[in-house]
Amino acid sequence: MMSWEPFENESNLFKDLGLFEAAAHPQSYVIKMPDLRRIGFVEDGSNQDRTVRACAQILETNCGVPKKKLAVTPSAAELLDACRREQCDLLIAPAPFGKNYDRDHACESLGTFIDELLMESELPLLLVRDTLNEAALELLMSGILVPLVVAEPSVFEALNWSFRLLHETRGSIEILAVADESILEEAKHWLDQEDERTFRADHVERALLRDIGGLVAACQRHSTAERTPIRVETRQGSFHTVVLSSLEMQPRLIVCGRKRSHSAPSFHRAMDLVLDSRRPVLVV
Amino acid sequence: MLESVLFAVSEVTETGAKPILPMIVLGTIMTVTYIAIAFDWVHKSVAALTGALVAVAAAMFFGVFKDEAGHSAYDRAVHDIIGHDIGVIGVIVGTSVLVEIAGRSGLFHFIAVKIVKRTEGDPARLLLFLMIATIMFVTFLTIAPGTLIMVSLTLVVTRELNLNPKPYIIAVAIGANSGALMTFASGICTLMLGTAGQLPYSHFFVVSTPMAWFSAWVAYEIIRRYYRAEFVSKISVEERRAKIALFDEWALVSDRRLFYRCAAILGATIIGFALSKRLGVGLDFIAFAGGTSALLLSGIYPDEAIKKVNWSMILFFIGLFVMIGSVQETGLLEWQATKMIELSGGNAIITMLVLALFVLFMSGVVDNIPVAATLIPIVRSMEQQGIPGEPLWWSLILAANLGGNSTPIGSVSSVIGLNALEKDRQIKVSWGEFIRVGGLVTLVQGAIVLLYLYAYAYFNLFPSRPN
Repeated sequence: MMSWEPFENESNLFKDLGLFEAAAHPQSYVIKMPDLRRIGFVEDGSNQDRTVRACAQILETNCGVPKKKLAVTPSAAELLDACRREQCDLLIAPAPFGKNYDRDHACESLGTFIDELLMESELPLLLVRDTLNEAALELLMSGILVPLVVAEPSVFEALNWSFRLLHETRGSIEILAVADESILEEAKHWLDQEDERTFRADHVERALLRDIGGLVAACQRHSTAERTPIRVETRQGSFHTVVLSSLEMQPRLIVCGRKRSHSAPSFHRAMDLVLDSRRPVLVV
Repeated sequence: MLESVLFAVSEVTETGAKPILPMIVLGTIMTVTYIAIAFDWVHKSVAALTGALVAVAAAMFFGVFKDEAGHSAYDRAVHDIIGHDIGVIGVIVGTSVLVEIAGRSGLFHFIAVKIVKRTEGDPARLLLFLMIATIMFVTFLTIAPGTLIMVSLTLVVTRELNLNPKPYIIAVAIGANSGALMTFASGICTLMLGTAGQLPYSHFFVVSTPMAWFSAWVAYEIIRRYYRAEFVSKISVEERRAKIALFDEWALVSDRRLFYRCAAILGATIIGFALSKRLGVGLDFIAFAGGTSALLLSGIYPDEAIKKVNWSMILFFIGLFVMIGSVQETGLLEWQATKMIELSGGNAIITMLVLALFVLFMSGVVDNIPVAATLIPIVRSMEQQGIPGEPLWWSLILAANLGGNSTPIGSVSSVIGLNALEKDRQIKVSWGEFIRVGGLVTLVQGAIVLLYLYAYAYFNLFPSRPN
């Protein structure tokens, strides 16, 4: 049998198969925009405070809800209690710790306080790693990037929040689905190790497309009512690299879902994005 | 030895006839290249480019190309030939960009699922609807992208409905070749021949579009009867209906804004193609306008769409055009044209029918694109020798597209369909089985094509080309 080249290649076939499989077995899912009564923010005396205030101001305007400055507390748990008392449904905090360290050699932490917040907080956290001027922030907040490698509940939550944040402004949302072969590494023993093809990026992308079908359908339906433009992009490669390079091309606010567990890969993916992104990241 | 050969060559040239040695050498180069392409010895583009390089070198050695006012022999050899066919390459590049962006929007996937849902899971109706959808998609997307979408959908739907995918895949593969007859730009082969013959876009609706539907209907009837035992699902009617109803077409839409914009741009491009003559522009201009509009309005990073253009295919065409152009200069193709006219006794209708028969056969054995590319200069030469051009061009278009149905390697749609079937479902279609179905389809379609062409020629129905 003659090869497909130069006319076609297998990669396109796997992508199309994944898409139609997604249509055949869509997960039933409906976007539910969460309540946002107040936006809490906290300052720590760092250079990032000004950016935190600007973020709070922009979200206050964009979402039509008041902001509330919260006092610094000795522990994350106390800050979260204060949020509940003040009816804050979203918290903005600076996260400058280790910003200037070389990631290859040192910092895998955002500091005890933020690490604890990430573990404990049921509220979405907008973490400000670096300083950014107001004009740049304004532009950044007009679009949202929701990166994912699997369609897990935290991603659905991230999407719910994305629609909420853009509800009034009708900014655009991009779902960036990354077919990252490395996510299968840990589960290799479940599969036939003799079959090398199992781990090809094409196969992972096909499975990913199948996985996110319901999510895409739900978002497209919701976007009709909301008139929020939504776009879905799939790419092959390392999650971290793909997401950051996508932001370089078009700066947007990252809204990243994570499970609150140190053993959850989504937790580490979110943490890595906060550590390496020079722009604010909303961790849901 | 070499000196005596060159002397013989130059001597013949002075008599006005073309020297025979360059014809033999370049003809052999072309034949070897075609065999390499047909049997997949090397990558098609590499084969075509190698053939072009060797053919140009041989033509230069034999002095086939002559210096003309302001044009060196090399200019004549390469640049003039490429320049002559740049329109085809322009249309391919422009439409490739547009189709890539339209494909990303999910527009065609969405429509495909909508169409399949109308079947309610009925196996026979599914066959019919898949063929109709294939024809429509190939009309807008050309054969390879259109077939790929439909083959993928077929594999998924037949798995859901517990049906044997084989007859459906064969139907899609064969239907795609009928789809390539729908319009000027529906297939690469059609585009090449239409451009070479300077056939207006609107003439396709008069001659080839009716044949597209007719040939597809013939194929549908043959496949339906041949595989009648296969259109039985192990699951109940209600279950099939429920499974099909569950398909959610919105899961396929990646960008709703792009979805609507692409629909508008595609529609405008098709209208532009139809009006290009009146507008006084080439089809490549319209294709580039469509592609550029899509790049401007899609919001997609342009490099991503541009790099998806099948540059490999473009190189294949450049190699093919240069090689054939070099062979043409030797006079070999002109000689072949004369022989074909002699064979038919100078009768235009018989020439047309002989040409159609030859192309129907050859397109099943070799890829139809090299066959068409080789016959273009031959048909031009026949026109110059007084045979009316329109019937010849139309016979080439119909036969080159439908001839590929006879074997599994005759057309790109069969190659895609059968490869996908094997990769995804581990089902092989043997040459024997394909030839039994495809061969029968080609026989009947071929007979109809000959009758159709004869009727058009006899009743003088072929529209005349504008001067």
